[in-house]
Amino acid sequence: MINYQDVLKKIFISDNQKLFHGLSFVVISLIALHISIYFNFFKFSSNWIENESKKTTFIITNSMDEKEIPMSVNDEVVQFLSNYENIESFTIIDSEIIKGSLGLENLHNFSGLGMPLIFQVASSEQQIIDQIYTRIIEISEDRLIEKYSHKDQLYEISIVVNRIKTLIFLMFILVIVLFSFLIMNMVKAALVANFKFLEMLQIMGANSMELAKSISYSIVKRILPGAFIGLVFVFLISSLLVKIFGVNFSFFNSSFFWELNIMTLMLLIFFLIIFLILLLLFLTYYLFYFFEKRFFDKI
Amino acid sequence: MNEIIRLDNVSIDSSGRNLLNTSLRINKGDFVLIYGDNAVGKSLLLKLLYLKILPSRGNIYLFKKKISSESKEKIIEYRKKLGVILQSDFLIPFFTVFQNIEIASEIQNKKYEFKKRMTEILDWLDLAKIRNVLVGKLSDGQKQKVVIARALINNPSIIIADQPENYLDDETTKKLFFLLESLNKLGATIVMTSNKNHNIKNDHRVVKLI
Repeated sequence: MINYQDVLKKIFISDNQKLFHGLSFVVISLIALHISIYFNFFKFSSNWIENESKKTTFIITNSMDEKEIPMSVNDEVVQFLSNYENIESFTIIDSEIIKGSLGLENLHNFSGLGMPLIFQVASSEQQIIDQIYTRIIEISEDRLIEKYSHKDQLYEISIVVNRIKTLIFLMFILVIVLFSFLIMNMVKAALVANFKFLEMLQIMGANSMELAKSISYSIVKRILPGAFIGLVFVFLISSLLVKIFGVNFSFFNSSFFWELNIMTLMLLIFFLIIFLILLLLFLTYYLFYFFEKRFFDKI
Repeated sequence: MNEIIRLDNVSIDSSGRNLLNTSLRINKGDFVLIYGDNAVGKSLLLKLLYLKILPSRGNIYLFKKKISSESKEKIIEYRKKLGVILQSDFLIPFFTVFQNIEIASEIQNKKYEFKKRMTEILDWLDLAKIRNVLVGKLSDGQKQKVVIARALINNPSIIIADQPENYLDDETTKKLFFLLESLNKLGATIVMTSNKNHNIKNDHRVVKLI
């Protein structure tokens, strides 16, 4: 006994089978890639902003007669920070790095330029930063001290980050809308091309909802293999990108790498399930509407 | 009398032009022959009878209950009782004769004694030898036989046929009419169109469209 749902599947999909597989692979990959990039960018930018916002840069400016801060002051600062347990970390910026960032690598020691002592302290508590500041004033022996909280400077960066996130999200929506239109038009073309046969099914008493369910279920089933391969492909690409770009971040370590990968995979699987359910509902509704509209002929 | 469908002063208009104006009642067990010249609205009247269109004016009563565009459930149930033979073949070319007939049983969910009915109908219409041939490879006459077989496979209680003798040779036409009359005597209701009045017999109810 044949099943008329198989007949529908044969009519609508047999000619387009390879096209459906290829198309679903490309489009699902494209959408999933947006999700993966959005999520990884979100995690990276959040981690980076969180880490940066804890940092405060201290600058001890040398006196007029000094080329650089004396080693005794330098050592005392390092010793103080090393012994101070309440801070998360500190970094003394090497004078060569400062020169390098200013393009002054070849500056002769006899030039009149003095090098300040710059160091960064990471702590989320303002009270601790204030205590460090007070102590540094004592250590610096009346030299000029400047203190910059990175949190204040991150405001504009966070705006840029949010704009990038919005852009990725809008691209994601655009691809989904385009995919929906494409599927809708392909299905409509197949329906119109086979409408005489479908009309006969209606005359024989086929229910619009049953027809809609059968066809949409068949289409989603055909999309599944391409979608699954697309998901694996995006996961591999995502892992590679995370590995390549991650090395530039101080917070990137192997546990963070695996955490990101597992979360990305879970997110992609969740996305695929939700996407297929929504596609099934959308197609069913669309086809039901298509058949109901043609339940009676227009004269 | 068991009324099946009644058209009460129905008319069909299109682009301001009146295409059909009629009243008709079909009772259980009727053999109704609608005949008339080409393009007088025979197929349109049949479309009203299998409820593929609704009238511009007037009312349709199905089993004495008024039908509107909201009565889709009732219409679907009614359509499942029909065997419809249309002028256009509406067959699936890449399916065999057997599969094309079988699909009607699947949709109308009438699988009881399917094999026996299938064998009988294939023998009756001389389709047994070509049961496994793809419909796309058949002649127009053979396709018409498949359409007839598909309409009759479920032992429908109402048969609506739009010029079923089209593409058939004289011998097959005679066999077809004999089959329809036999089914009518067994209780089936037959409504068919024809543009040949030599098909009319005394016990037929005749509707002439002008």
